[in-house]
Amino acid sequence: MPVERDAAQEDPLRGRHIVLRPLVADDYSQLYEWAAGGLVPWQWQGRPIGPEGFQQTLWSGALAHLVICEPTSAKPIGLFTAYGANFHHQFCYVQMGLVPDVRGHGWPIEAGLLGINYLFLRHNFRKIYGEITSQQVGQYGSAIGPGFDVEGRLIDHLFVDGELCDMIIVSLTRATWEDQLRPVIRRLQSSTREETS
Amino acid sequence: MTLTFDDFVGRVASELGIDVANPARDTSLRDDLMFDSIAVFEFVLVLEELCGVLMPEALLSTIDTLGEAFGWYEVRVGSA
Repeated sequence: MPVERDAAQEDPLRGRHIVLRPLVADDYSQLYEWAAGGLVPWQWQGRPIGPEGFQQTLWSGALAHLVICEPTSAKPIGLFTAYGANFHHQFCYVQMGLVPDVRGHGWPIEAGLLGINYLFLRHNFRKIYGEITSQQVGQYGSAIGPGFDVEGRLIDHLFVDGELCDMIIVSLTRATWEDQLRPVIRRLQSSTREETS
Repeated sequence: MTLTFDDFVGRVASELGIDVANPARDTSLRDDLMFDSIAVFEFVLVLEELCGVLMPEALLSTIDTLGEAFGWYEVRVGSA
């Protein structure tokens, strides 16, 4: 059955099962709730963040925040963040936080692919780095996937949920994105007729 | 027309650009075909294209074998 191509192909932030959108001021209260509830980038953990300083902290070092949403309800289910961008050396870092009930499924992979695709399309980055914990490898499953090289592992670097865990630095090059991931993304951005139940 | 299991596997393999030797219904995507998570994800995208519908996320984690994927395909295409 042929796939129907549509305008979604032209929108790098729209996938099949989720969409990304830029962060807006109305999202801050939701993000603060997530931060208070533990759904936070690892950099923030251990640091008290009050509501007054939350926005500043959120944007400190950030290049872009993209809210991950369910496409039909527009319900936010996570946040994809690009930070630590260096345009001279042409790299940045990314991380993703997701509400617990969608972790371990396929759609977080979709969010990561869309976010990375957006960054490579929009900016002249050579490499995109990710800093993930050994715990997250289990949560996302895909954190170290094809095309991602492990650049380093900091043993017992973080104290998360009462346990020491490693921090793993992974990277994806522009060439690898172009050769290995873009075909998947092109397929991802084709549409099908309906969602079944 | 609904594909047979062998045709289904051949079609999926062709779309993914892979060879699947001796496919069986209990062939595991992860353990036998050594699919990583992105490969599984792309497999689901192909499956959706064959069926013409999107797969609910809740079902995603229930599909581990070619037979389970074919079963979902049969239900969707058979009911279309």
